[in-house]
Amino acid sequence: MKKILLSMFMILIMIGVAACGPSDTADVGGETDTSGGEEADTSGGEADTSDAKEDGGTLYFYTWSEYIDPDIYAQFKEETGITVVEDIFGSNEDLLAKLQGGATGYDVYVPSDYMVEIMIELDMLAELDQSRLETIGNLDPTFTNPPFDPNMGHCLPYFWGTTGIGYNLEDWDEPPDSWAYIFDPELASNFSGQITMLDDMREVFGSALIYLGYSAGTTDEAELAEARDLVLGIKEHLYSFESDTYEDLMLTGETRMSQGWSGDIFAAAVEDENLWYIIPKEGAVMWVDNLCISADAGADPERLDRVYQWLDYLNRADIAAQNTNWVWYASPNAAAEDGILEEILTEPAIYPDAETMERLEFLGNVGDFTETYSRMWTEIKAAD
Amino acid sequence: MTDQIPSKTHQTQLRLDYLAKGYASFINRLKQLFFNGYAGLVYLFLYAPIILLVVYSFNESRFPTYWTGFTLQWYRVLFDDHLVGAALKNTLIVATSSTIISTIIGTMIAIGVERYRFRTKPVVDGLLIMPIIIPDIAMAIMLLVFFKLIKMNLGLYTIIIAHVAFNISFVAIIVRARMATLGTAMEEAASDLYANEWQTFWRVTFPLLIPGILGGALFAFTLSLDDFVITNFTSGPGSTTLPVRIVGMTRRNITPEINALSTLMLISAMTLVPLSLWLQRRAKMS
Repeated sequence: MKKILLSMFMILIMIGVAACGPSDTADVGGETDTSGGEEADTSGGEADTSDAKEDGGTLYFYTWSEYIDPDIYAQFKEETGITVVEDIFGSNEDLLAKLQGGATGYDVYVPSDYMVEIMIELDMLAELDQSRLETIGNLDPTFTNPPFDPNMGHCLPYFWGTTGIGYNLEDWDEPPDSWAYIFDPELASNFSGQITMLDDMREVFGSALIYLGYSAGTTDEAELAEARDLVLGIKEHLYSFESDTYEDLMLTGETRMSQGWSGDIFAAAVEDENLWYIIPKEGAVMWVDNLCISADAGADPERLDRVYQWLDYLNRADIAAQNTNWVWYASPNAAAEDGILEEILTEPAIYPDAETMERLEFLGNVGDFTETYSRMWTEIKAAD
Repeated sequence: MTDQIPSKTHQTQLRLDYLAKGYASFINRLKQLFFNGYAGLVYLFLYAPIILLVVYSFNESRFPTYWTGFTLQWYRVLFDDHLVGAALKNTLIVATSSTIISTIIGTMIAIGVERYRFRTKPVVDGLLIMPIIIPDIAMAIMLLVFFKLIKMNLGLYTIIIAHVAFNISFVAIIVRARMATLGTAMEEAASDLYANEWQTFWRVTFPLLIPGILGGALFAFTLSLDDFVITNFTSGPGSTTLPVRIVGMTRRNITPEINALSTLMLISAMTLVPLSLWLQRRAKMS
């Protein structure tokens, strides 16, 4: 009996030691990690623990999954000594909920355009001091004065893309270059039950409104109602509203067409060369994900110093190019283009020509009108 | 005549019996077939997704719904993925610490509630069940607001506290159930033999409780291992756990790396159960 008690006790102690030892890395105060640090850091910095530089502190980067070339963390550490710890969120709304709940300690967030506007209103972001960024000139002027963040007052654009149509080359001689192939009931009936739209209120209304010739971020109830009726009219031809696996459905042939995000469709196209993506001639919604500084980091000069080093590093031409080649989204960094793979640069669906660019539109924050969007979205989802 | 009639009826009776028997055995066999088939379907329903998940972890294509060929590359990707490694480490830290703490507190509560009478017992009873009934999301938000209120920075510590909060109840209930089946006879016998309360506890009650405690601890460990909702809200910078990371990964693209990861988690869960059974048997043998 004693033996068992003793062995149990030993096990408890062992587990206890294992558990308590490294948990000092949980300190959110930004203290430097010591013993267990290099294992616990998510930067993959094990390779260079021989440290070229002394410990430069830790930066907490709150971002999307697989949205950066993981090698960059190690390179950055080697160069500056700063350890970047990545945490991830699943959607803009998740990020907002978390921060509204009072989460602090993150240094840099990566919200999308409309969420930037909301977060600025809620004082969640620190202002961006562009004079502290040597690489600020690398950015394409198209992105330096976005409507959601005038003159980049708070955020630095990180990646951008569009919401268009994914289709199967087998079905088309000429690509489906119009939203009509989804929104016109007669044309949609050719692929009845084989079309998906994003399970995302703003995206669905955005595309419908653009097809109708209105602004994707309208605050006119009559226009929105028209868009709702448009979607209701083709709902019987839809396979489903689907945001996470729609490209899988296209790969298996279950669906033939989808409203989708550029990056997703290109990832699927690597598997099946018959899948392709087009920005319809009526135009499309364009989105930008941004690097934003948290309000609490903005109040701490030491953290802010690390933040600016990080932003400057990501915005460097060679690093932005390396990152783009890994993520396969378009970079707002004009100077990076020399280093970006030819196949990405010449793909009009990733890097559209100037004329197409003019037909792209941001979703924009609609303020309290969101409630009207929600109501009409519910009406669409609830209809038979 | 009078002799033949009964014999004739007897014969018919026999034949009828025989037929009835045949019919009954036929029905029985049919029943058995039906129930076997039904059980088979239930098991298929339960396990087919798991089998598919494992099979597709060896799929060459990066999309989980489209078979192109066998490969082990996703396991290599997984082992090279430092982000998953860090998340796994966080998960293990949280699961082991919260299991240890909640097992100790939960066992103490179980013993207190089961062995002693006090005026607020119904209240304690009710409070004990609360964390089990409350929806995860409500508990998550409560905890987040609470941490904010006491100005505690979010991180691994807050996740551990949150997990302890819901694990205590499960441990206490399992240990208490074990205790109720034990009865008080053994403890009374021990005190008849002049063991003091301390000796009685460590030499009699505790060893008898071990299977219950281990069961509770294992339960707490698994709950803690796969909790997403509460962890997602109470995690802070640098404390992303495996479930949180997996959900984040699926939001972008579901690649077979996730299948490979799930397969490994499945295997470790499957080895944990025999381990706990073995521990319990050893405890019983002595």
